Amino acid sequence: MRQRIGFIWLFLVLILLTGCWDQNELEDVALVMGMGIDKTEDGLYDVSFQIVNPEQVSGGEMSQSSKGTAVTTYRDKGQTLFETIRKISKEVPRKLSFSHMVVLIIGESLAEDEGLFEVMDFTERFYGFRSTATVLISRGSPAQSILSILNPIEKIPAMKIQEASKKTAEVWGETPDQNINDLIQTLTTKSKEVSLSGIALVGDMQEGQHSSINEQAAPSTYIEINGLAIFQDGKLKGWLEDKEARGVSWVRNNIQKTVVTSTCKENEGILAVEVRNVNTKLKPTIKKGEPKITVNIKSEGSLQEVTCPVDLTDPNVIIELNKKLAKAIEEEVNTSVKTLQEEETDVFGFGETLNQKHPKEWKKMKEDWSSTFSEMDVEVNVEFFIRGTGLRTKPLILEKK
Amino acid sequence: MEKAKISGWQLFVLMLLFELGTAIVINPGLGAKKDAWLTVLLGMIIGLLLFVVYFVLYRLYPDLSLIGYGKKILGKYAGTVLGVLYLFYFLYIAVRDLRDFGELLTASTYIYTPIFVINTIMILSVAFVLWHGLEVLARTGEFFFVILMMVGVVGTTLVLGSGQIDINQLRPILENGWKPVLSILPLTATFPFGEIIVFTMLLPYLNQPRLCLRAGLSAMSFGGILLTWVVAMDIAVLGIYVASRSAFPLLSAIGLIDMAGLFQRLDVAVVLTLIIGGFFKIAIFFYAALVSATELFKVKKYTSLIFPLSIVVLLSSMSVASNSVDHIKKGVELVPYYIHLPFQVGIPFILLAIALIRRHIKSN
Repeated sequence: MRQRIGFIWLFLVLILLTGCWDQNELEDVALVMGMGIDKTEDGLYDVSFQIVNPEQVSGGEMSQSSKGTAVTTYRDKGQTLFETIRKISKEVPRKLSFSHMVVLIIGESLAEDEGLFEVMDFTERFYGFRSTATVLISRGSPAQSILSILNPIEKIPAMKIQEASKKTAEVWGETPDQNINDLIQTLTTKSKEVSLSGIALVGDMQEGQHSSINEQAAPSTYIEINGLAIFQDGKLKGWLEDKEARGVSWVRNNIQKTVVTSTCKENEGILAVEVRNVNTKLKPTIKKGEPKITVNIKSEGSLQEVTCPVDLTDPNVIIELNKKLAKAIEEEVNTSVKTLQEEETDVFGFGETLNQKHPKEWKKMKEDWSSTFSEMDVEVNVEFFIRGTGLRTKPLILEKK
Repeated sequence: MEKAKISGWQLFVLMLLFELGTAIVINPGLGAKKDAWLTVLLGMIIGLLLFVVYFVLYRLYPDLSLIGYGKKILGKYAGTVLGVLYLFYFLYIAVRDLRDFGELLTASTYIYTPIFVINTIMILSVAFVLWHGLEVLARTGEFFFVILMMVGVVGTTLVLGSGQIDINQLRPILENGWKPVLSILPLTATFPFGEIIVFTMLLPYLNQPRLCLRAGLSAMSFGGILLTWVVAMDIAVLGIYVASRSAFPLLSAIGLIDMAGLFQRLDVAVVLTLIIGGFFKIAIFFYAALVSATELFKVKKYTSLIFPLSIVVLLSSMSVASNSVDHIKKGVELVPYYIHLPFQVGIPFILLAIALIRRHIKSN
């Protein structure tokens, strides 16, 4: 008897342990890799989803026999994001799953007119989202057109976008790779403004959507990470280009690796170093109620390309070059600071630094921060150390006859 | 009374699991913003002092539970009334914890599962373990303690290793002065530290009474330090603005772990922690309620009460609040002040005072 009851228990447990109330069968799920959000003129969200075609990405011989794109992009409109996610079922025969989403692209005009607060609430609240997806602002064209461009390297365009964002942040440093969580953290911090990397379409959209684009050796249509979007109170305010954008990364200690160039003496030739081990420290001080930030950047690198006739075996030359490179970085940071002070947006987080070191004084300043920021004194000190000269010592140009 | 015996080590384990319980996932200190960790730490110190009070009472009456010495101290009638009040207190908190547990699971992972089903399964497992007695609960505790510690160590290592921590997010300390810290203090002192009063029902089963103080204080300090670390980590990872708006800061913080693309999506570890902690919290409160009822109404075996009281707890957990917002609001604004404070601080202090006066009169 006892055994029989035990048996019944075991069976009951079996039913419970499967926990299959919230089951999602694999063949009923559509994996969303990327999502783009735009706004139409009549105030509706225009949302596009990049969905994987499982057959095209699965390995083995199957994928070689079939010709098709690895992803399909679907679009729908609605007053809210969640609405569109469910409404899209009219087009997609499966239920959307967002747990593998890698990029979220927000349309430029949406970011400009409405700002980020409304859009981001859903991404944070919805259980299905992961806050590790990279967020980018589409530049010059709507988010949905960016999302639908194919490329030959990665079968799934969303993966390409994410990889490009990560890689460029790693080796070039102009644009940071920020995910949903990073964005919301900065968005909610009142002493810091948001900056996000941009992504732009080069070429013709119609052409880029066709799989024949992958048969070109030099694709005429592609997408690239482009510029740094600057926000004020969650609304897009402008764009920073190239070195101005990198200036922000220097200050925020976001540079992992990058390349700095400088002339040698008397404008003869140029040299390039690969910068590593950047360490930026912000030192806030307050004198007579006036805030001041000292940006101390320490960094090192090795020479990778030299086209000026200097003797690199001479330590004094290296010291000279260190100063030149430090100067180049300093100028870069200074222009960036100046531009942002004109724009009155503190994407550096100077306000937050002040708050952390001088909370009392910060409380007096915070109401009027953007104007205080635009007038405040910022001092930039850069130290640069060349640690190596690559595989050769003296530059080739010295051998020129 | 049950003829169970638990060792000092088992008491330590049960207390630790109880302290971590649901508090590790929904941290109570976050109302104090960046100083949440400080509030939790101060709450722990107050909790330790409270435990010393309970311990003195236990030393005065080593063979009796709270209900037992309540009767001795206050007399038969007043003592019984007090006992009934405590019975309802333990039941109510068991009910609240069960609801907490259900709300957390349905909001995080079991989106479409009715909360009633989750609560039923939980109360069934609690009833099953308690049917086998306190010793089985204690041994279950030892087993899950090891698992929980392993999850904790791995989780902490990965958070540290994935470089998500930005210690500057905790600065400045005391941004708005002491006021917010002190205003949240009643909350953190009572939940989860003051709730240790439920162990006054378990202490008579301890086989080595001399280990009581050591086990209790070390479990509470260890638990308190872990809770402090977790809330500090939540803020350092998420930033205070995200952390204080999250329903489950720990879940969001662990979700960000991505170490070399290899260790990621570890949210399930948090759910595991929640299930283990929730189980012991509910089980211990429920057990205390069962023992109280047995002693008060002179029932022979407490096992005969398990089934009816399970149904009471289950149904009450469904009706205790109309939705999660209502439930949390009650838990933050009413329960600590009007229920926890009198039962955890007021009554024990009065009991201790009367007991000491009586003893003094007797010895004279």
